[in-house]
Amino acid sequence: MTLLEVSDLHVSYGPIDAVKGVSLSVERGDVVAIVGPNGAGKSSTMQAIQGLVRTRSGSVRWRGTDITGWTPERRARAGISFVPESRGVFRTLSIGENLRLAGCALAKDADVSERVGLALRHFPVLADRLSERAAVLSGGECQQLAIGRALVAAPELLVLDEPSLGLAPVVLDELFAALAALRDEGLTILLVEQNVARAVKLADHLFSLRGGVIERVDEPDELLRNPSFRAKHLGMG
Amino acid sequence: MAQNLVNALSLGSLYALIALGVALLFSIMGLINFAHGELIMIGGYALLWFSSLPFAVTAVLVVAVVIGFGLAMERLAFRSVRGASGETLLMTSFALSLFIQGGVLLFEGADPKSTDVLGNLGASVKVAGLSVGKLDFAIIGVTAVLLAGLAWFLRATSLGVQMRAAAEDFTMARALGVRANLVVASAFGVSGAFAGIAAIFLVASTGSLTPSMGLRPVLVGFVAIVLGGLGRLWAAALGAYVLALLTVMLQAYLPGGVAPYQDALVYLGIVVILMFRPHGIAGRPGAVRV
Repeated sequence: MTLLEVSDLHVSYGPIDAVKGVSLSVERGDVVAIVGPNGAGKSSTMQAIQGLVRTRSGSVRWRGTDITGWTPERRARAGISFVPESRGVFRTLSIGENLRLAGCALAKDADVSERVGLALRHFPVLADRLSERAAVLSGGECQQLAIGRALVAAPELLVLDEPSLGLAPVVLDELFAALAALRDEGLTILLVEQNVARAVKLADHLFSLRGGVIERVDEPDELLRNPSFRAKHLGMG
Repeated sequence: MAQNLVNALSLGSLYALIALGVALLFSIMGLINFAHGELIMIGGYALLWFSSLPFAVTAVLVVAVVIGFGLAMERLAFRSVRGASGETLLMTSFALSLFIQGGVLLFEGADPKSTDVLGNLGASVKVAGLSVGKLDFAIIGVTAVLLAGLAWFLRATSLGVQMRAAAEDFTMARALGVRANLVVASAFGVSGAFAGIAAIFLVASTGSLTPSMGLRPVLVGFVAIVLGGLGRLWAAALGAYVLALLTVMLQAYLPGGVAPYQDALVYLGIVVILMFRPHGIAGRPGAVRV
């Protein structure tokens, strides 16, 4: 079943066209990665999917319904959880408050505490620090909180913008292990990532975005078998 | 000296009620709401309208009317410009302020009106050698309860946490499912409640009201916010108490010949404080919102 379908999406900032006709679709249970250099339009595409930037033209469909005009909060309530490049952690709130805040996207009768508990299973390091201010967290912990918080909303689609940005390799190992676990549990994930090697290992489908245009679509398995890719991105001959 | 401190505490409490109402909207929407003064003015006139009823009923009705005006303001004037630049929001609030003043002028006339609300609190009581007006007691006590209540609301309730999150990063809060309309309308509601209560105490203190009576309180509110420091709600309350302390102390100790320049000297004092603390007494560099 197609969860998300983006068609001919255009995003502009004044005279600058950041996204020029991007089309992609995400099937339930898939992990789709978009790779590309800085300024390629990746983050703008993610923000347009969450409704955080206005699209100039094109459409975003969610489970077959056109949601292009929906507010961000309505999209969140419909099952799209977004983790921005900046993590979007509220530094003045406690870790627990950050987590419970995502309960806003749940139905009124939902058990937020239960959802928080489930999220903490993936990121147990946060469990003993719920009353601490989020401002004290390291970069890696912030990312764990941001993703954990997104999980509290019981998402059908987790949208991650550059999850590896600014993180040390050892932290990245933990983070991508957690993402792989979520994938194995059947969670649908759409991520943009500059770390091609990590993205390829995690994703079922790969899109390459350059200059605001989807340039090519590769299957990760083929890339992993490609000697020049292995040499360039994975350091394997 | 102790007597002056009590007076400053009372005046500061009134200033804090006003400043918090303004600061709450600024923190969430980036809105400098000049029309907040008109909410106070409406509260003053509502006090007159309902003055024949028992005071408790009058007070509830005044606060309800001002909250209603605040919510209507949000729905009819500010919702359509939400997310616009600070200048647009400011101009909208100016226009709204003039519109409401014009409306009250039309129905109530320009002549000052007087009322004796809470007149029974005019007497003073002796506490530890100090003469404290019953009205001052009421202002200090009610403000303390409201500040504690606001702090509790922002920390302990889901809506309060949503408001704090929206104040820090409105866009991210929305991306998490926080309903923008609910949070902003709630902020206008709380702001209106504070304006209504401030109106009761203001009119009880001065005994008179005019359609332009909201201007000075709202300016005091802004000064208190800037003085306390943009970025934290409690800093607005702190700014209010410091401003009141400056005012009362100058009033008490200025020699007779300089007394007419009291206001100028208060603001000179604020300029000096801001020279040394350009972000306000408790403000954080770079922080604009709560």
